[in-house]
Amino acid sequence: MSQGHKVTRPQVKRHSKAGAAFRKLRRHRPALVSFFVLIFLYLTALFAGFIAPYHFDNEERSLSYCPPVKIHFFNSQGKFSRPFVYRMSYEFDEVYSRVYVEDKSKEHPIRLFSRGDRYKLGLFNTDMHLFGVDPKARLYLFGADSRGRCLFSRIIYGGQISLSIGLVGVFISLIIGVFIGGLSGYFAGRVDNVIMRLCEIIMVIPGFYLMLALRSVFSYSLSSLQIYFVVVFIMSFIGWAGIARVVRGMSISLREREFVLAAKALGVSNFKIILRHIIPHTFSYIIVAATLSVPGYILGESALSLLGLGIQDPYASWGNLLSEAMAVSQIKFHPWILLPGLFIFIVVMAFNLLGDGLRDVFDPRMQIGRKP
Amino acid sequence: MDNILEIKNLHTYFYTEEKTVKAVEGLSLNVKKGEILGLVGESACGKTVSAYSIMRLVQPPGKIVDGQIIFEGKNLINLPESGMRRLRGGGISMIFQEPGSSLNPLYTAGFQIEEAIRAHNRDISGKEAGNLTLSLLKQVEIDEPQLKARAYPHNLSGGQAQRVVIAAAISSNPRLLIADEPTTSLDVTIGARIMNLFLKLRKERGLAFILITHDLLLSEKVCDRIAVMYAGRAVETLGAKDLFSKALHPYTQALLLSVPKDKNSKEKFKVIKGNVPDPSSKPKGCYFHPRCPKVSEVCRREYPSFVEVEPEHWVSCFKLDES
Repeated sequence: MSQGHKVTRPQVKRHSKAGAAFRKLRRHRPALVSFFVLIFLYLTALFAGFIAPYHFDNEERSLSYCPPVKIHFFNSQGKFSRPFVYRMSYEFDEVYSRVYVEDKSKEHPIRLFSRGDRYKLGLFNTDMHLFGVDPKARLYLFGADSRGRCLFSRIIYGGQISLSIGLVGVFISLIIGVFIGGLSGYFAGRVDNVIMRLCEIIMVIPGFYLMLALRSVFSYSLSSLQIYFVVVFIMSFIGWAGIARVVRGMSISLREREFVLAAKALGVSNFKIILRHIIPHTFSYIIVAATLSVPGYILGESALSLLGLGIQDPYASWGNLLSEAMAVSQIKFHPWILLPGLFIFIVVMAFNLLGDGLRDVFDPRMQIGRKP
Repeated sequence: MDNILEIKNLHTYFYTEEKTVKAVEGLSLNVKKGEILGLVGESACGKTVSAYSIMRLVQPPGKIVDGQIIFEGKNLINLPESGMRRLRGGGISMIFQEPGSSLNPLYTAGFQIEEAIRAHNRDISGKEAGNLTLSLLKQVEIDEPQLKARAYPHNLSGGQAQRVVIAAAISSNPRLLIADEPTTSLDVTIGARIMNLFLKLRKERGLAFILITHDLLLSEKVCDRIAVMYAGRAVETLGAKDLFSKALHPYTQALLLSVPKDKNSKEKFKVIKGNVPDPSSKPKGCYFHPRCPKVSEVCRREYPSFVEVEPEHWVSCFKLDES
């Protein structure tokens, strides 16, 4: 009784929207799994030089279309040993096609942190790889392409281009789309009319033809870096319109909100109102839209590269790796060259599942087939 | 220059595809320096649109069609948008009915006050803006200003949010504050405190107010003068203390009768029959005639002019002699 009152001050706590979103996402299994799959793939792309046992341009012509090597755990005496591979060599069969056989005379153990091709990782110039075998044998986990290059390494390196193009492309079209959409909806009237008609022009042209037409504007022979930016530019040029339209719609309804009017009544400039009061309220949509549109960029890059208009050999992207698989006979005799397609599939799938999950998190009304 | 604001013959119309909504049609008003003017009338009679017109915040398809709005000698109608932006918050501020939704839920109260400060003083340092914010919060008598500056709108009660909104509105020393039903969404005691705050701000800063309200009792107590609006026009302006005793216009009288009085009177509420006319198809003649108990032939034909029956008491009605 005699104890004094404890004065409790009202706790002013910041609502951590991101934290709450992540907690909700945890309950959304497919999205969560996709999230970690994507993180894993982006990490492999980031550390491609370290993870890939070979440089993307390291070729061994004698191993053209060599199938994936077998990893053995039992040596010739049938004893369990550390994993090893045999050297591959080829013979000709009766129709003079190459048949690869293992040279069982010597075991080549797989070593962690082995030395190999030199590469640059940030500031470091090193030849340390996560795993590898001694140079006499070759560790072609996913087999080899026509020029005898390690497909696994090329897929890992290809991820750098294919995965980053999605993010960079979406980022650029988001910035353009969100700003133009916000502007269009906020000012309404004639500005809105002009911008929206422009968006519609871009959107009515079938995307793929527009992509090809835009590609033809640029020279065919560009350096690989230039091609990368050309592809990003083309994809963003097509992509911003869809985002701008939706953001414009949101901006129109946000413009009517009282806090926007209140800010205007206080003399805050239009530019700042759009930046501070309109655009931030579209973020939850933007995150979902961005996630769901990344696959489009990855597929677009793949399509361009598949046709030979995108990333050029010897640089690898998942699209141009697949271009080797354009002939049915190649797929029949060397099915492993379809593996880059599997990676595209996994990434596209993961982004879509993650996007669906994020939509459920940010907009519970959109949930389908679940009780409220 | 006695008047800080003069509105002359203001017309604000909304153009939709099928009709033209004449929300404000020939409004004339003036506000004196340091005066609290009450703007009363039923819903949909153009009070809010008049306020938006003064701020030039009427959104398309709405448009100020005609008239003059003279603030401190400048006609706001043909002021360029950049000048208008400086005037908003810097000369005339406005606060809205719902204090909770006037604040952006994403930012702290302090941030939003600072934003208003920076809109008119770009070079102010972060520390100065922070200090000014705190002193403004103290002026609007919020408890624990330091804590409230860091609070998000959802942490604030309605009364606190309204104080934050007022702090932002007075941050750049405006001379006129338009308050659009500032206490309607607040409970009575909180509303009374906000009114006291207004009186204090007028005393300290010489701030003039346009107080838009439905509440006749409140306006009589707080305001100096009252303007009664009907269907987009002012029908009567008079001193607040004369409201219950000297009101002449039949509409004002009818409004006063609908104020609940003492328990014992037989008829507790007297409602005005009918509704405010549809602003897109107003009746011919005096807009009030279909509901007016004293209607006569001339009322159906022409609109009565606004005449000064005694100093500071203007009425527009033909039937003054009979009232």
